[in-house]
Amino acid sequence: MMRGLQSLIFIGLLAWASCLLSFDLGSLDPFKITDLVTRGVKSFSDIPQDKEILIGKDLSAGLLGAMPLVDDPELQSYVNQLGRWLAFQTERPDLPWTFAVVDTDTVNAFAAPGGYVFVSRGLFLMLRNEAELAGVIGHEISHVLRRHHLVAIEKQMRASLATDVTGMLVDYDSEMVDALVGAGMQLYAKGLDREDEFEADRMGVVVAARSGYDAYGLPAVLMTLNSRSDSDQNLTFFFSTHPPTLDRLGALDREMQGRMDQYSGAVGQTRRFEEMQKRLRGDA
Amino acid sequence: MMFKRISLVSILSVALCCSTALTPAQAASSTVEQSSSTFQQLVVDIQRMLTELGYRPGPVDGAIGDRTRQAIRRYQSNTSLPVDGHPSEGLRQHLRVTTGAAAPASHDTTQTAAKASTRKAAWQGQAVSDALLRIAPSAASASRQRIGKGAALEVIRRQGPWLEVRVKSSGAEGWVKQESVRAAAETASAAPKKESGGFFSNLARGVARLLGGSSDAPQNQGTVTVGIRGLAAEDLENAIPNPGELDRMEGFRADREQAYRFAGAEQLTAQSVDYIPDSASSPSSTAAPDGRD
Repeated sequence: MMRGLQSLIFIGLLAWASCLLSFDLGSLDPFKITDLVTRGVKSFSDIPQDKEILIGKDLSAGLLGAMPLVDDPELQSYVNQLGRWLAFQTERPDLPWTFAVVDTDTVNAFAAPGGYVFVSRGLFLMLRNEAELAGVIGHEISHVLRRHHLVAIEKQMRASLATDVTGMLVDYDSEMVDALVGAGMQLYAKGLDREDEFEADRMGVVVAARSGYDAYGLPAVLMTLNSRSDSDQNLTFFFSTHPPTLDRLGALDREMQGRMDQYSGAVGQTRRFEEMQKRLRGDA
Repeated sequence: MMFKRISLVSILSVALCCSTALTPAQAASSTVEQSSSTFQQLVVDIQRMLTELGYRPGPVDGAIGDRTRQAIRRYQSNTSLPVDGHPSEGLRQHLRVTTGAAAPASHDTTQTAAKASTRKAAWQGQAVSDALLRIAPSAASASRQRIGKGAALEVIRRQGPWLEVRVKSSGAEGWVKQESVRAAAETASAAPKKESGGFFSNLARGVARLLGGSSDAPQNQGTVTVGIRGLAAEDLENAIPNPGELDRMEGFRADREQAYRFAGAEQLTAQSVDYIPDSASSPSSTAAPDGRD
């Protein structure tokens, strides 16, 4: 009841604002007010795909500001082909999927709305085969599919009363971009909710299996991580931004049981993966 | 006239003194404690501990107002609890653990309020820079003491980017930002290896098949590079956007044809596999009868 009233008022305000402003903003603003009104957008999670991509671009530029690309075009093309192949097996094949290996020894991977996926050099070097890489990228792709970051950023911004999130949906100007990127970077520093990580795990193994890879790549990576010492500095950030690895393994053990056996023994290692790893290690 | 005024002032000030004497934490908690309202006691405890942690919930009076709710929300948000601004028993317990279980207001020694000094260290660390030992895992929290670079620390647990530590020299406990702490040299290699292969029989079989042998022993020689090009939470928070690098990244995008050629080169064939439903995943959902397995 209350909620219905609120959204009614909200839509009313939007309509009123659009009457006032659509003449001069309509053509140049990426967030067209009339667009949002007609599409009934109430929050980031149901924002149109073109806006989602714009937000993803801004967050990705932020991530790349902290960790640049590894300077190896062949390696970058390799992850883009692998990632794109995985993304074609999902419900959002049409996003402009873009993948990168970023230059940091810290072991971690990130995703941004609109189809941007980042794997750190440290993580890439820790993997043992292409199925493990497919598992990691499948996990990140799943965050994008489920719009986990958009939902979390919105939650965070609504919690800090300083930001006018509703206004943001109407008018995506440079000030708003700054606020959003700020909230996004804080989210990357702190990590997503546990449930989002568990969901990305159970979707990630399926995305890898759909693409013809051995489904046990992602659990294999988690086992490697679990065997590493907590005091390894390159892992501190990973451990602080993800649920305990044993919990994730326990969940996958239950979830995959009896379901994924037929996708075990599919493609695991490839020569191209070994070559890429050698290049990255610097002894190609 | 003059006399009258003085007496008025003194009466006023005495009244003020009385009222201020009654509002501080101890007074409120000791008087309200015996009262029938256990909810009021709960709120008093929560307000007192929030005050101690620097969250400023307003007067410790057992009444729930906007300031108290906002302080609760800030605390919940900082400690990754569900943010509802509601004073609950769970919140009181959480605060007791955070404040070092001192909990002077309640004489009952609740079991969950574990005695801080007995908690054992997860690993041994060392401060890599001067840092503030804070009472709560938040930059807004008051600090207990300053830790000098090189100080030996026992790390008790982690919460987000914060580590709860015990300073070896003083025994003081509190929270420091993770990036100010490194594993102490002698324990870095001696840290216990955790076993996972034995636990998850189903996963272990699959992983063993993938690796063509044992499921553990990652082949990576594990050179613990001292994160020269490491990345900490703060690097992300302080990152300056690099749109030029984004352009480069987008330049490496693969099109459909390239993706299919990539798959074909290793005989990767698309399979039809359903997503795994949520049901079994969360440990909190008490094993709903599923029927699938």
